[in-house]
Amino acid sequence: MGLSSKINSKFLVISISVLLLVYFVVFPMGVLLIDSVYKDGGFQFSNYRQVYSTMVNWRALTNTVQLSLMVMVASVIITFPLAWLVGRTNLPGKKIYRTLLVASYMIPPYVGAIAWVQLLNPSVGYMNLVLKWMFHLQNSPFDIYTFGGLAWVLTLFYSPFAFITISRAMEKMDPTLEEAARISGASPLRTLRDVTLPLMAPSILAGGLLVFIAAGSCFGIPAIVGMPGNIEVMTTRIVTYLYMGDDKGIRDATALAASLMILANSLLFFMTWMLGRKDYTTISGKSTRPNMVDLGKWKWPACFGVGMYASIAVIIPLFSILLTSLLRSMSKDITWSNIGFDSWMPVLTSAQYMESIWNSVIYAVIAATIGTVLAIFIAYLAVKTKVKGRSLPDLLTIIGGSTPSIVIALALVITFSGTFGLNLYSTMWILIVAYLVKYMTMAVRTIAASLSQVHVSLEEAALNSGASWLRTCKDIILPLIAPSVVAAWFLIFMPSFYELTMSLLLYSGETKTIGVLLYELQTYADTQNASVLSVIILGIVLIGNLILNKVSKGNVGI
Amino acid sequence: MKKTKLIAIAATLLAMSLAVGCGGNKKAADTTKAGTGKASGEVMIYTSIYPDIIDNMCKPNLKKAFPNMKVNWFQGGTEQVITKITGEIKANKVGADLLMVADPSYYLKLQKEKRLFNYVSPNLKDVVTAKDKDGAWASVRISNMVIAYNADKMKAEDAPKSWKDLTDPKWKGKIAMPSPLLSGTAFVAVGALADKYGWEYFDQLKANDIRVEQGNSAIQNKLLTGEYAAAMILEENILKLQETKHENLKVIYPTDGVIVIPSPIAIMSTTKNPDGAKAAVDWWLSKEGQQAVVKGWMHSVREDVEPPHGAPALKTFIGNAIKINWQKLADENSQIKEAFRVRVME
Repeated sequence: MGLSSKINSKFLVISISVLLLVYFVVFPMGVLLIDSVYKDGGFQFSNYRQVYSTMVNWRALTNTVQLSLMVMVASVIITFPLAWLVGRTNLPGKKIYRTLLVASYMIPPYVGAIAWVQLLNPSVGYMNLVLKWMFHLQNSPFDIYTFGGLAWVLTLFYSPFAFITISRAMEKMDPTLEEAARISGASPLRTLRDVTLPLMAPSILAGGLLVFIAAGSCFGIPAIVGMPGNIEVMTTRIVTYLYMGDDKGIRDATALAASLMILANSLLFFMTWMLGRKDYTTISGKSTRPNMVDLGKWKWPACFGVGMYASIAVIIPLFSILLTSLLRSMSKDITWSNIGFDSWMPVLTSAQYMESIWNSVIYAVIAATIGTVLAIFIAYLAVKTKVKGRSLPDLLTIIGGSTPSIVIALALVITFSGTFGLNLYSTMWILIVAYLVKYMTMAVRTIAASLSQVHVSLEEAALNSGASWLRTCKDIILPLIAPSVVAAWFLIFMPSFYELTMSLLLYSGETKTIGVLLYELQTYADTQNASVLSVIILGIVLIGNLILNKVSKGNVGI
Repeated sequence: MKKTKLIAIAATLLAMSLAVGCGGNKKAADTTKAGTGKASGEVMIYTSIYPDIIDNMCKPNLKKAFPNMKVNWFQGGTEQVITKITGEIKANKVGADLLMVADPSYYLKLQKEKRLFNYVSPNLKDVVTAKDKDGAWASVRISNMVIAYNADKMKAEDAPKSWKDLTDPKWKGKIAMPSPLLSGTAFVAVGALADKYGWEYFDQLKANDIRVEQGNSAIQNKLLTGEYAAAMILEENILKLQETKHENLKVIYPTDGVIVIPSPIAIMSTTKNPDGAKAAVDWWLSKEGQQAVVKGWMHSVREDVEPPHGAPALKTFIGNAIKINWQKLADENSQIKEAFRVRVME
């Protein structure tokens, strides 16, 4: 009895998770792929021929690849030393720096883009004006509406992906190899170059590819920064085709979206393949605490350098948004008499703003709750069982996460508007499904990491004492991994809360979310109200992160 | 081609079957024909009217006019709404009963595909701007594409006076316009100017380093900060800033013609509540509905309604407006967008 119920409940739970993933991740993407080649009752590649015979789409493709490469390399170059300083040295104030360095993960990217346009536009950017005044320059030193400007903003917003991956690996690294090198007389720098760097290579690659995919799938930043500079990328081309307003536009968009999806996913498989071969070399089975490097006289200069970066990357743009929301008139100079809450009142008193905020909170809570429960099963399956194909669901969530948001949205619209039975169109569920497909992978990662530290003997003891598998999960495993479960919940909640790209295509009259409203304010209506809303979003996200930090005792900062 | 025809047939069949299905309902409505205030059921309006106008003006007033009818709204930019409807047409599930977006040429396309429901509203006779004789669509609000500048940063005599003036080298790097690829009203403006001056006009703008922005909001904002000296923008954006924020932005009605965009209202042929939709059209074209439009800083389609706050009457500049070939815009939508992109955005 004990044995059969154990197998049954486990089997049931796991097969339900797999079925759900197949239905909501694999199926829509398959439909999208088929839709891009299926025309007039047959399979043909005329859509692809059509879109790629236009020069601009090629340029968008090369721009996307080039830009993502630049952002990837820059992110690794910036975050590797930062991760080392924060993770492996006695840098003063490293706890605060760690939080600050990943903080840009919490800022909606389009909000950050607006801030950087305010700071670095060539004619009246705040930062340009200050630099001109400080160094008596004739012309503005920076122009945000360039390839470099776009790469800069993307780097600031997506480098936390690299930082998180690299610093996690660095802290779990087996220190004995480094110690051996030091004992043999190598200098700290030589050890770093000859031992640490090669050992870290897979994680650097993994982090870099995450950045590559995120930068390539981003729509908000290229739309706000790239467009005035006439820089087209794949995502902006897809949206342009969608906005053509005819059947052909949708078909062209589908072909482009399918190519972007194939690009992102082949990179992902490359990454998994590379890591599958190499990852075990860096992380030892036992939990180890690497020794800390004493920076000596470099301690304070390093602290200053990291501080400079953190303030440029996070504090200055945040301040710029706050300031914009508090200006009474955008055309007057920044003086005390021009500061006030004038722009705040219409936002705080408007029913539609509050409704959108509520919508977003509700959808994000539902998505986070469903996602966390599923993530627990998926992580358990991958880490704790020996079932054949146990990591398949995990892989499916990774595919979802690495598929560009706009592709997911398009696939969901095509698939779930009733053509294949289920009709989620114009309901809140299509938004929730989209958030789950995109963000569940981070939750699975977090829970899997902490599950792998729970020794199997505890579970066996419970099972031997006659507890069912579900009971064991509830009484033994869940309490042990509770902090990471909370962290996983927030990892889904926060990006879902301010999501823009997918919501823009999926919202309906009753389900307008805060991201959509913000995009509208920024595009059609009032930029200052947009800044106010951004400050509110940031407030909510920051409070969420504080709770997360408290609950996980600082272990799972994002 | 064949496919779209099939869809069109399917849509009409669907509409017919629905009309039959709703027969009982219709009869009930007929017996109480006396007042449109008796309209019932639900009506879904897809619109690009600004959300604050919908919230503050339209929702409460429509509720008062039709206490028994639930009016739902989907609000988004013109191109966003069109994208949504295109997807719905593809899936054969049009959710809108009423469509109110700012690209008249799109209505011609829909009309040609027989997706619009003909209805001659009793108020149609008062509409002095563009309307279809069969009542497939009628203009319900007038937006004007104009030039604007910041009077705090520039003297009136220095400002450009016409569209042609924007090609003057003295504006090099200081001017902007919304993208016709992402904004319906900008698309109309580009089509109109290309017809009047030829595509060379845009080559000259390109030579003058005109910036193409995502939408009107980015432009108004950058006019305020002084990032741009002058820009193509909708009159209503500037009027709103003048009145609500007391900003010193000024509208120039170009001497070579304002681009007057009569945004239509139309009932979709797939509507499940034709009586409710008709009642809503009547309201929009009534004096009361038009006052809501004017409160949103757009011009009325009726002559007996005042112009929006801070604007001259429509008739003072409509005579000189640029002539727009709407059919051409409808037929050559993607060619016009592509021509603009190649000339200006590369």
